[in-house]
Amino acid sequence: MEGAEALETYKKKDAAKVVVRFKAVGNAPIMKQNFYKITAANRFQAVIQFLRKELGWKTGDPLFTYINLAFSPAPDDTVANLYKSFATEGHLIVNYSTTAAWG
Amino acid sequence: MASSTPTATTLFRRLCWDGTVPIEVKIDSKELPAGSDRTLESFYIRAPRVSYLPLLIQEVKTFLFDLVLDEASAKDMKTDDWWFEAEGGALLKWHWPVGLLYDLHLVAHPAPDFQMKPFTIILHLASPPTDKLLFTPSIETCKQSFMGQLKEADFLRWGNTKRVTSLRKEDQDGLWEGIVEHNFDDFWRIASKIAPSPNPLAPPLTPNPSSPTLPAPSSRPASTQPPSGSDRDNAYSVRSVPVRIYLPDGPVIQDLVPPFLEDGLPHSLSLFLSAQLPLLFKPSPTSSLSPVDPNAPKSNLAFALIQGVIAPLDCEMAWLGACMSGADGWVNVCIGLEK
Amino acid sequence: MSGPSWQEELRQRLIDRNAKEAAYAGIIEQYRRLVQQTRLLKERNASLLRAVGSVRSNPNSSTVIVGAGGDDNPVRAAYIVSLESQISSLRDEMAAVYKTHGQNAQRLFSMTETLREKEELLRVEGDNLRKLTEEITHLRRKVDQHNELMSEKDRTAQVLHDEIATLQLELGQIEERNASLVKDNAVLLQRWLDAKQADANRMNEANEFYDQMRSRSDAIQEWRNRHVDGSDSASILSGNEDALAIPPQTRATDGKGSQPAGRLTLTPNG
Repeated sequence: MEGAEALETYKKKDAAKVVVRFKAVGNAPIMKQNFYKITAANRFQAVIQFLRKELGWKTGDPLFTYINLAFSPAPDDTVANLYKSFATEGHLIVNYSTTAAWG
Repeated sequence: MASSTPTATTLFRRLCWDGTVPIEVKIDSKELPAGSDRTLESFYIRAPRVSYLPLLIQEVKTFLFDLVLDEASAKDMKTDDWWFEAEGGALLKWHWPVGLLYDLHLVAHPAPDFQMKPFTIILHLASPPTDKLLFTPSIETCKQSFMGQLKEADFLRWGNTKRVTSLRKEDQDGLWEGIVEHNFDDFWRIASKIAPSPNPLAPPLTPNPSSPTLPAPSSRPASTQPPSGSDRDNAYSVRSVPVRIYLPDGPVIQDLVPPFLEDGLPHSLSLFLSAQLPLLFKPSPTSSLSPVDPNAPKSNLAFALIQGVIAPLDCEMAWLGACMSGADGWVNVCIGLEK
Repeated sequence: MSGPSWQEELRQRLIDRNAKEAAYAGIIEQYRRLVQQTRLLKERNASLLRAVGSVRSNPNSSTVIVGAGGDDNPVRAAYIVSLESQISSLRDEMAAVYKTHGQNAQRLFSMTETLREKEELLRVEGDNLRKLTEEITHLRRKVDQHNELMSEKDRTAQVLHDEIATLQLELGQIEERNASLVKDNAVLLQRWLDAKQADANRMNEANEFYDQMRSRSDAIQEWRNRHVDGSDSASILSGNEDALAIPPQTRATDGKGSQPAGRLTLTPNG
């Protein structure tokens, strides 16, 4: 079954990393470091969790994330997919806010 | 009725919109509380393809509470803990349209000869795998997610989300209501302001829809529609067509999909798939851009299911984006292996 | 439906898909109604059971109602409540059905409108087509006519060409003849001139001779007058007769020529 083999190849996780740049919006706290290298195969949910941890957010604290100040991606979309479609100058720009900004 | 949209486009949108999935909801009997009436095992629903699972919960709940559970356990039951699984164990996401869930099930578990069979899904009443579902079955969350997808598609097409954000609040809500009520006219009256239309210029065989002898439809409000906004909304002048490839039990692939390639030819499904999945789709005969991969298959090992139908590979991507996208603006391409 | 074949293919497949996916629609709808009915009956059953229970727990009231028409009968009351709730839910359903009906009527109306527009369009297109077809046949006929005319003209042109060639040939011959006639004429003229020159010369000579003779005769006359002697005259007369024989000839010449002889050197041109 050649096709099944091919499918398995596509299921393998890509170990490549991409640069994600966090930008605070409104009165959200600013992070000490803006640029992070994140494994591209991660889901966007991992980025959100990472961000919450870095900000010291407790579960239940509101946090809204956007790409390019425009939209919230689905949390199960991969960083790789978002990077391919929306990266600007080699960065995937993730805006975060404590209130719904472009909801 | 989207009177400013060419008839052919409306026809395809209507055909896609009218798609429904017969669903058999089976309740995981192990999770039923004591005192439940177990004579009825399944509940059948006909769900629109554009709908979402959270929108079905109310009906399932009525059935379950009135016919299966006794009063005491019905009082304790929280729908927030519910979750669905396809027969075969695949988790069904709350924020994916029913049509996509069904198509993914079809490609992963192809019925012999694509024989029609209700989509059997299993309702679990407790311990949802939240790390995988990511959402609760709340209708409001589902709506937020839908709007997010709509904006992401808009951003991919035009580089901004102005088309969606400039909609009035009533219109934004109206889109969602159109889905909830499965009302084509209500939905597309608003959605046609966002969705691109395949214009007469690019596809050489499509006739010009604005024939000079055609009397202007009287129902069209003259002020809201620019008379020749065709290029502004032209599916062939977008930056990228919002397309996602879904592999059976596998990853979702998304990339930039320009309507035309460097050689000026329209980007076709064949070119797109052989570029994204070179191990499954043989190089397109018209593709002169990429060198031929020695591992490339001699014939296609897979097929593409869009909106529940096998798509001819010479489809043009921009046209698919305008006519075969889901309500959220995305073209979902499910890949199935050829037998 | 026009457009690339893949569009037609997709259209057909979507239609097939919708038909296939709707295969269970009837069953599911009936199932839904059964569920509804079951739910209703279950509820009614429960409330009736509850009512019966209350009757049993209060036997006094039941004895009171016996034969009283049963307005207070809790079982009946529960049944009526249940029926009323069924009626109200049926009313709701009917309202929903009316609403759908209204929507469908609206849709039908707009579709009829669209159909009418399309038919109108079709009619216009049909008219156009008919007109164009007519025009085409008309133009075809015209083209045929033109072709015929052209071939006719070609034929005429050919005939004219032939005629021109013949005439050219004739002209050549005539020119040739003309040239030879001009040459002949010149020769004849020259000969005539020569002859005239010769005549003139001869006449000059004759005139000269006449003049000589005349002057000689005058001299003789004079001499005779001076020497009046008649005998002599006869011989002289005979000599005169010789001399006189010339004048008529001279006169004839004079009649043809212009005037007096004498000084002339005649040329044909006069």
